[in-house]
Amino acid sequence: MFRDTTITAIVKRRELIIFGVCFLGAYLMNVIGIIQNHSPAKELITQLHVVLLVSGVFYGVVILLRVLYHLISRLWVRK
Amino acid sequence: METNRRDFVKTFSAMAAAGMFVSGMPWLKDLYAQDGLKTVKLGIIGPGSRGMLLLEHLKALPGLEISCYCDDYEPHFERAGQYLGPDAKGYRDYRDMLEKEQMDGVVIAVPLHMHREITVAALDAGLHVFCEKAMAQTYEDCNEMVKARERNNKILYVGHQRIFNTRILQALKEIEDGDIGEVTQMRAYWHRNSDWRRPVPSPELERKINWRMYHEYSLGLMTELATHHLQVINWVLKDKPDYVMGSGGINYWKDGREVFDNVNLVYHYPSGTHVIYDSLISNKKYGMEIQAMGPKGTIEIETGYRYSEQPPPAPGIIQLINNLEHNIFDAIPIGGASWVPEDPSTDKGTYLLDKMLKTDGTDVQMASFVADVRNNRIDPWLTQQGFYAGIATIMGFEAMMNHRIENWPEGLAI
Repeated sequence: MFRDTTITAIVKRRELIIFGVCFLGAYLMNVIGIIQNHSPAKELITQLHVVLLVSGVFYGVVILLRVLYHLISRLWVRK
Repeated sequence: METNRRDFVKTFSAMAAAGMFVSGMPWLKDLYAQDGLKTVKLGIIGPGSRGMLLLEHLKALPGLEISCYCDDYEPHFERAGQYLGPDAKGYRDYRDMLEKEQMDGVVIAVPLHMHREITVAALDAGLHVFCEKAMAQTYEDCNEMVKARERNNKILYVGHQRIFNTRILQALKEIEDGDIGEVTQMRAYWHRNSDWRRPVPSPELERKINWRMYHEYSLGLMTELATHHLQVINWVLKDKPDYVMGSGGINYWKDGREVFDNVNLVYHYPSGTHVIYDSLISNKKYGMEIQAMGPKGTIEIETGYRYSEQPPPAPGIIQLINNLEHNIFDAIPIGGASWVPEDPSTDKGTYLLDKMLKTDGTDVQMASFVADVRNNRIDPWLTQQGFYAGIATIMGFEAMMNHRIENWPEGLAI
């Protein structure tokens, strides 16, 4: 039941790129939030924990979308 | 107690070093140096439950001798004798004690209706006096006590220990500094859930032991509790009320008592500030508090919290997320464009002092009284605080009893 699996370098690279994009998106949100709400610029650094959290949420959403895409694709192929 | 005094001095020193208050409180300075100074001799009249607590604080002080005591209730007389030992002489009549004893001052902790008589006699005997709160039962009695103090040029403390509480001093300092803006309203309440009775060994002692229940001896919740808060409020507002309206009654403890078990009052101060006060003894969910409210914030003086009306904004990213969330999930308002929900301020508050001392100020107050007696330092401000609190207390009682607006009695001022 439990097989050894291998995560290839390509997959690792792809996932890192996806997470990086999520992080950039979250960081962009931080910048917009600071500008819109006239918050102090130091929040570019002090709110990194929130940025990381939001990145994780984005990454989770992307995973969910990819799983959905995968499932729908398989159904489509069967038909 | 000694530890508390040291803690107090330490805290006060830190406050003073930080440029905080208060040149007008010379009594604080002498708390530094009491050792090796001349011995102060005091007597106590009325070593009941409160009197014994005062004695405990006094006995912990250096350079102090309690040379005599007086009580006409045998169990209290015997208990005080055992506590103070054979060197202290016991009296059953305070007049004998005042006549025969050589001492510097006297601590009076008798029921309210006797405050005036004993305080005036002690002052006229040339003694400094500490008298428990409230000052007295009538306007005239309060005034007589003040006149006796002035006539004899002696110290007269009234037992409002909040004057000596660092947390309250800090609250006053912040209010004076304008941290909450102009004080536009004050609210205070004191709630308990008990019948306030003490066990009586035999029925003929009911009025002697439960004197707080009867108008002949007490004004009930006003003189036993409210007077403390009214002193702090007068202090915060730097004034005395010009009139008061109110209503009270007995709606729960219908057990033969005469004094109200709930009181509800609105005091008006010359600045236009109103003080809303209530006290009851049939529910204690809200405990006790004094709230000073201004356009910039609120200070809860008893529990020692400050709250800002404009708490620091959340970080930009959190605000952005909140806005997105509101845009997506909020319901459409139905009350019209001008309607906003009356949500309270969300500030969770911060402590006035990092270190909360265990003392309520009574021990420091006793230390201060002894230091003042030793140095023969007379501070009319302290008497004034007791006097104005006493008058405001009686005003509230009169307003409720007579169903009328009660004005500050003309001509009563220090």
